[in-house]
Amino acid sequence: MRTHQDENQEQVVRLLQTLRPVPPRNPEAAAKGRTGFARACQRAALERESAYQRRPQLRVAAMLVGLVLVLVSSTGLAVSASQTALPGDSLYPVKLAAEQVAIALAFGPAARSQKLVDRAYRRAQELDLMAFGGTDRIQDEDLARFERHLAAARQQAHALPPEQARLTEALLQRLQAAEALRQGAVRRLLETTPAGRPEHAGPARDPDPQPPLDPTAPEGQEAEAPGHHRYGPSEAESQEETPSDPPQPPATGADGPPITNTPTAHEPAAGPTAGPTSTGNPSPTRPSTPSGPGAESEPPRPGATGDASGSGNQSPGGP
Amino acid sequence: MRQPLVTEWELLRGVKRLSSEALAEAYDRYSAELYAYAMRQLANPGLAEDCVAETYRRLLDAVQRGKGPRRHLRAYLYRTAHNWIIDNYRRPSTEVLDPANPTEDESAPTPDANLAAEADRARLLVAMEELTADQRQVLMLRFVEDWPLADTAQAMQRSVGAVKALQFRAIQALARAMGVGDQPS
Repeated sequence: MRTHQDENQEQVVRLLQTLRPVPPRNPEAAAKGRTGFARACQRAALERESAYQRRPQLRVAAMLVGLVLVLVSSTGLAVSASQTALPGDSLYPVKLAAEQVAIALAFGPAARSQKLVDRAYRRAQELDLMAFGGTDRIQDEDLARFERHLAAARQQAHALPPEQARLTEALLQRLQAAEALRQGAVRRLLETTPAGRPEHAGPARDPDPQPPLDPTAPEGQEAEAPGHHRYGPSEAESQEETPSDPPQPPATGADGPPITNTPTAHEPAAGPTAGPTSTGNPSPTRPSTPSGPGAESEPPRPGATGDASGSGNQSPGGP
Repeated sequence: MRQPLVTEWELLRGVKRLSSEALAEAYDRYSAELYAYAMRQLANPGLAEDCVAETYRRLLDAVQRGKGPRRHLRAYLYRTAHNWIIDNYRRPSTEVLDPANPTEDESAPTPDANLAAEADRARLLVAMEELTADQRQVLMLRFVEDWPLADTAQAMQRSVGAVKALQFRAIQALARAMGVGDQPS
């Protein structure tokens, strides 16, 4: 038997359902809303990227620390931590020094060639990353360094014996790719406005970062980053973030602090290929120690095993 | 560019990863219904758009901080929208009945025949103001959005039993407020 309450309920429900029809949504307003959200998502993605590209505050002190670390580099921790360093980071000199050591210890001209090429490619990747993050980061010195490393690699590749023509070919192709990468970076450098660089004053980078909210991040940057820009966080990096852009130190003619064992600071020999920034995995570049903290074993690249390289760690380079 | 339809769970996982495809899909999939949900309560297109925009902004913000929905994305969005509506709830009566109101969307003019319906609707919304926010929400989700009990429970973060009880009380309250059946409390 229907009660008053049942009837009331039905009536109320009927009334409520008159709320259902909604006037059509204004398409312009809808599109505007969508664009606004898309922009916010792009900002979020950019904040995540730029969280990994900071200039350290105490560069001079940090460089000294880098020097000490390299001289005492039987612990590979600093070296492995420097793998993803970019020019301007405190550990960048450590990275360069480690490359030199590795190059010096390569067995045979083929291995040396390989490592020189990998290093040149790495320079290009760094430029690419820097161009993505902000325009005023790339210094002339960085471009010059790229050219030097590229030239050295090319020279060594051409000096290989004819029976290794295929290796030479592959190496030269890789150098071309490096050139292309650099050109792209420089083009972006010229296209992006100076206002493009995000200003952050956040906490020190931690190994498991949550990207900070930054309302001042620029709108004008290309936000839909291509796949190879998506670099993961690097472990064991502890760098201070700073909004200011401290000037580069004057070039001392060497790429970082000198190593006691290498002949001259310039381009003596090939070294083990340090892990590329694209993977974010710090591969060890210690010359002799087989394994240690942060050691990653990855299958060597096809080109890298073409000769008997003496270093115990055969880590692939390149993307 | 349209990918095959992913489940809500997969979509949520993509959103939490800040995948741009997932975020775009989350917007495209739910923003229209969220707009309608807001419109039904606010009767103001501008406010409804603000509600949708703010809801998604809060989702993005929460996800960036490692928070946000754990399992149910849609329910989370409705909950967020609802909270925003509570904070911004305004009497719709004046705005709906005044054809000269500039906030009304010009592209959808109200024909004379609909004015009576608009008036009824305004009365209903005014009466709903006498309900608690939870009562309003359960009535909106259950009878206007036509959600099943389970989904409603998720959105309101209550048990199904609690939602049923709430629904019953809400209907009573609204009947009272509208003078339906002239029943005393």
